[in-house]
Amino acid sequence: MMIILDASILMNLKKTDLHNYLQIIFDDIRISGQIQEEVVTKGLKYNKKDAILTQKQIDAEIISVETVLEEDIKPIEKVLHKGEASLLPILERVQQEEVLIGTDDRPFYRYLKYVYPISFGKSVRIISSLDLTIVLFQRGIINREVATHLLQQLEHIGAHGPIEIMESYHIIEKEEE
Amino acid sequence: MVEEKLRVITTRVPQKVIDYVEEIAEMDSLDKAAIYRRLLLKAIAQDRVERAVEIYTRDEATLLKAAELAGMPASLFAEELARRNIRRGLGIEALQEGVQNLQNYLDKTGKKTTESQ
Repeated sequence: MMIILDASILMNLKKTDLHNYLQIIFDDIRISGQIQEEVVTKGLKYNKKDAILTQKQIDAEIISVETVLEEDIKPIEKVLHKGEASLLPILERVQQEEVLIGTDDRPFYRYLKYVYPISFGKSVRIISSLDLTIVLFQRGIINREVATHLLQQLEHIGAHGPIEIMESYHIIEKEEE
Repeated sequence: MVEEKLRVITTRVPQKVIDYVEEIAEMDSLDKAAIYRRLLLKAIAQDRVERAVEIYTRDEATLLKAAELAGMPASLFAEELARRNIRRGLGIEALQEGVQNLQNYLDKTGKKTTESQ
């Protein structure tokens, strides 16, 4: 299973306590204690040779979508940064069920969700920091107090979702009118 | 380091701009041309950020792309958006789908998802 965390989610994981829980969620993927500067830097510094992943590497690697594959980048929607565009050839090489993309960036989400399937004929599955928080809470890994703290941290950096989502997963109680 | 070649432009400006530049030039002991350049570069940098924020808000560029247009690192651009109370998070449907995707992933990898508390 390939987990791709884009820069927007990596940034948010680093800025919040969420990075402490990644090992619990993704312990079958080599990520232990790795959401540190060097991982992002590694992603940024991938050269073309490194960026062509073998299946074995896909099973083990977390890559940043800032991986640059100049020669593979096709003229696409101008909405994307070239680093994000470089992700597309990698997605082409894997099966839909093998990839989970983490992003906290609405425009990138919209591209992946609505434009990518038309251009590439297959869909991708996407998760966000808030999804991670909700699932950690659902699985009883964190309690309501910690979940609320994480949500406040996400809110502080502008990466939170609508309040209804927290209510629907009972992280916060709906206020009576 | 090679110095960037400067080129001449001519334009008309209001008297109050001239007065301000003369005042600053005297205060900073610099020639007026240097002050005009400094102000112009500062205004261009600000304008790049404004435009990038606008484009991002309309979902016409991703965070990375908008940060590139703004001429700043993505993390600083994200902070700029937060300062302006511009939410970057996804909508309800996207989040619900994300939760489902993550649950499916955990189920596949042998982790059972418990009900919410």
